[in-house]
Amino acid sequence: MKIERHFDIAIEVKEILRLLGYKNKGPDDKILESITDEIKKCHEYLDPALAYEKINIKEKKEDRVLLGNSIVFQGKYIASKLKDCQYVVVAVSTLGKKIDEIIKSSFDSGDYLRGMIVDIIGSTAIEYINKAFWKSMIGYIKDSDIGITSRMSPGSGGWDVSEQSKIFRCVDAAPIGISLTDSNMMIPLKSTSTVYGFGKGIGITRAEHICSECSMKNCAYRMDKSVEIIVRGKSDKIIHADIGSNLLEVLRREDVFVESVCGGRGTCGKCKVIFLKGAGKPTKQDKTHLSNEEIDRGVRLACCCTLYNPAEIQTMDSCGAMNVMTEGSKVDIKIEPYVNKMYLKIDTPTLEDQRSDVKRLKSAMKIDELSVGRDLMVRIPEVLRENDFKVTAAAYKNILLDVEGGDTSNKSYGIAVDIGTTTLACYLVNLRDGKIIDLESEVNRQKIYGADVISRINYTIQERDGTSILKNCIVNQINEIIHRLCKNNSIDKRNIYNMTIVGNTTMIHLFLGLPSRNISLSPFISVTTEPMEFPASEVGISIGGFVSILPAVSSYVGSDITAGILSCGMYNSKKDCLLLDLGTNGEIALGNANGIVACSTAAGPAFEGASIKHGIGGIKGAISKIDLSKDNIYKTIGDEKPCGICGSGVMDMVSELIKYNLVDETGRMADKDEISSEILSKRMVQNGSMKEFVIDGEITFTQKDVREVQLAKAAVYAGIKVLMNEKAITDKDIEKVYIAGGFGNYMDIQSALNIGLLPKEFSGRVESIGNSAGTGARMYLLSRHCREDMKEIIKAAKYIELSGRKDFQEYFVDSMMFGDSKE
Amino acid sequence: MEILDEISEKLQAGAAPKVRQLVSDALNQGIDVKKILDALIGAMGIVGVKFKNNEVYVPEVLIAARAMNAGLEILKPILTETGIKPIGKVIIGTVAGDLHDIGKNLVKMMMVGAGLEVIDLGVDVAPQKFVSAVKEYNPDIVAMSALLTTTMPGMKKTLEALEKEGLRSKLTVMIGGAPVTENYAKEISADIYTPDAASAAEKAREAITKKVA
Repeated sequence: MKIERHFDIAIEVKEILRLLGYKNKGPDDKILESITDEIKKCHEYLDPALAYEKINIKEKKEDRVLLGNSIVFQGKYIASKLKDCQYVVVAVSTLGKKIDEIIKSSFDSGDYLRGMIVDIIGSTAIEYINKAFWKSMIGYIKDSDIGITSRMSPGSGGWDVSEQSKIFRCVDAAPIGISLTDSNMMIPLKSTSTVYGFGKGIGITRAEHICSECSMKNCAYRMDKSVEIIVRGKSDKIIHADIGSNLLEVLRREDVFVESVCGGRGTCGKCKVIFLKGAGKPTKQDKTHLSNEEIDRGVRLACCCTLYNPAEIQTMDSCGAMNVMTEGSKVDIKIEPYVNKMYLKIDTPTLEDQRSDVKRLKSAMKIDELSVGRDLMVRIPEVLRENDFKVTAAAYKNILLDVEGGDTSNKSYGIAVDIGTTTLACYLVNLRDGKIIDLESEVNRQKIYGADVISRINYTIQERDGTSILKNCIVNQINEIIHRLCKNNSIDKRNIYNMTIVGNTTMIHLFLGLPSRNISLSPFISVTTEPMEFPASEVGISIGGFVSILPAVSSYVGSDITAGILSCGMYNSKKDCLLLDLGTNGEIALGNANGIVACSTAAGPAFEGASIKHGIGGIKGAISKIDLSKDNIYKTIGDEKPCGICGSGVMDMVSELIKYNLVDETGRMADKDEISSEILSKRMVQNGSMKEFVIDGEITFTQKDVREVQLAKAAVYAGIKVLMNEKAITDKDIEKVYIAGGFGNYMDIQSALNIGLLPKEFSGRVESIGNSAGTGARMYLLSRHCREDMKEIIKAAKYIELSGRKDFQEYFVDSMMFGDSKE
Repeated sequence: MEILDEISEKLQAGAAPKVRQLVSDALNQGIDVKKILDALIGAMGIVGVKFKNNEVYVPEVLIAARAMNAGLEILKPILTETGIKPIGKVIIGTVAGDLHDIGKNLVKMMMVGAGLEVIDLGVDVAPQKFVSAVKEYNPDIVAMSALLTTTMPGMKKTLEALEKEGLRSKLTVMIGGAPVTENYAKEISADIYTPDAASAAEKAREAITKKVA
């Protein structure tokens, strides 16, 4: 007998709501909170265990089944179910006795609601265990011809409950604490007994129970029909969702893009959708994050919206319209890619020259160790002969990728991909001359699963298929972009022979579908940071050759930074240079030819507008510049009606607030009566307990926003200081400061110096280099020497972990203030 | 009387502390205890109707019942003092062999909310135990619950036992539980079958008022 005790039980709110009978509408916040709280703490009293035994079937008759242990299952029902089976698995499962006690004491003390909720959580949890067990059994048989019956239990279907005692003779349930009463009931109450039959060729019976086929029409637990949700947009989309499901989850599943910074926890207030029809009562979170005007208009937060009724919605379509930074510096390198495409005039075979086709190719290509795949060898004889032995061969390193008829040597392409946490950029590159043929960039679609790497990793931990969902999300998006790039430029996908990918370590893990959990937990260990190479098909990318992934330094200094180091050339420089990549995380590298130190700071999503009340990405209508001396104090991207404030605007805002003494050096916003200028004083308003500076109409900048910026800028500043300490140099020793990343390109460098994101001494030495990660990826694509250089960079780079470092903490606190930081 | 309306309103919203407070206030204002009790029962009745109409669901009923109890606790000593008796008495239990008690608890809760006195025999109640409880408490109603097809026959056996002791005729017998149906009630000659807790309380109250009338 075997016992399982490790079940990662995940209870879904919607399931509890369904079992509580909610149909047309959901509960109020108070009840919902009781449910979510109980789900959180249920693990304290759930003590799951499952014991099982595999038993061979010895003999089958019409009305009974004799097992190998001499026990006989009696009755026509069970006999017919097991008639094609060779063995059975008998299992008993339980949640332990604690939950029974809690249900009883709750009812006894008059807390009926809790009693009921715990009872239903118990029912859901025990089913969860059974399902998990079922899945593990399926895992064993899925590649064989063995099938499994549906689940059977004494007392259900046509199997008499008196057979229960036989189950308990098959499996010793005492070790997991289940006993059987004289009336064949199990104690603890939340226990089940099950039998599954296994047999060759009987197929896998998936459903344990199908509601639509069940005759108990009045069953409270019956799964109801779905509700229809119409998503209005460029083309309308109709979604059928289960009643009680969460709108954000439904939209994610259906690939409808919604901003979701916090990953659906109801804390960021960004996943707004407009209900044109069927808006429900606003939730507590709606009231916190939305204005009354928005609520009246039907705006709701998708992550807090449970679907009970048909609805018609519209999303705040910001995807795709984002201003993604794709520009990088020019690549001045010798074009020498690993992809080699050559036109060959091969000697035709004769009786005197009977060399094989492959041998002929090898000698023509002058590659001795050429490796040729089977699929290719199937085609080679025909291609050679149809084209009179005049063909073009494409190879990656010493691997033959393709053989085409005639001279196609000019059709040799590569793609450099930069997977950012927020944005995705793909460059289609001509491998002959190194020129960018075309490029496409989009918001990384994984963003709906959380704005930062930690919330994405959390998603992979919390959702059963989270890792593969995120993997498919990014792989599909890249494939779609490849498809468009090829179509728009009349290129065949097969002629793209190499793709280089950069990204932070988490993005690379998610792209490969590697477990990322340990990246988020101290001591922050990734599966790999090595340079990697895969046949494209192995990682699901639809091009003709190989996918190469650039190496990283650590979990938090990824290949986007190493690519940046490669592209700005600091590893060749004699003097020290600083590279600062300001994205969702702030990564910093400092050094020269003699060595580089790098760190990552939790700059937080403030500079991407995420943790700012009215913050948005760099989309049209985003306030990107602020100057309080002007009549019109702001400018928006595309000169459109303002819809929020993006990173560069945030930085200008704070810089201006300081300049006009609207924020003091501690970061406190001035009271209305402290402001001498009447015009500015009017803009400072009190909203509840929060001071806010009105930029335009509803768009304000709050005291909390100022605090967010303080935290972010202090983290970056302190990171820079720690690295300088590590290298034992001062501000003056730094020759060049390279600012990478989209935001870095748009931000006003003076504002960055004003608010103390960068030390004032850097003034005049700062240069924006755009998407240096993308540039590095292109260099890696085009030059084998750059690949060698990259190996050196990795060797020379040292990662500095900031968390727990005392000097970082001190610098961090010091640089929290605005104005000249005290050292 | 405004305060009684407010009690009703708060009870329906499930605000237990508020109901407790308001019931004390009402007593202090000198409002007749019977009227307060009726307000509580009336409010619970409204919740029951809303439940049947799918306007509220089990959780809302549960918190309303809790609020009801909070009010009742304040009233109880005074009700005893003034000799006001519940309108009827119910003995309830899950039948022999069956350990499920959630459904039975819900019925009990709703019946208390309807102003009935409920004696709960618990789970796994053998026919003989029902019989002796009937002898001891002399109830108006015996209510039985079963969650399994296999334990349902316990209802029939209990009815037979009551018959044998000559207790059946003066009792109203109610049955319920997931596998139980109207037809089964007819088959074993039980008096009332109800599909949910709210209607169980309502039917019980009806049966008792009919008997009194």
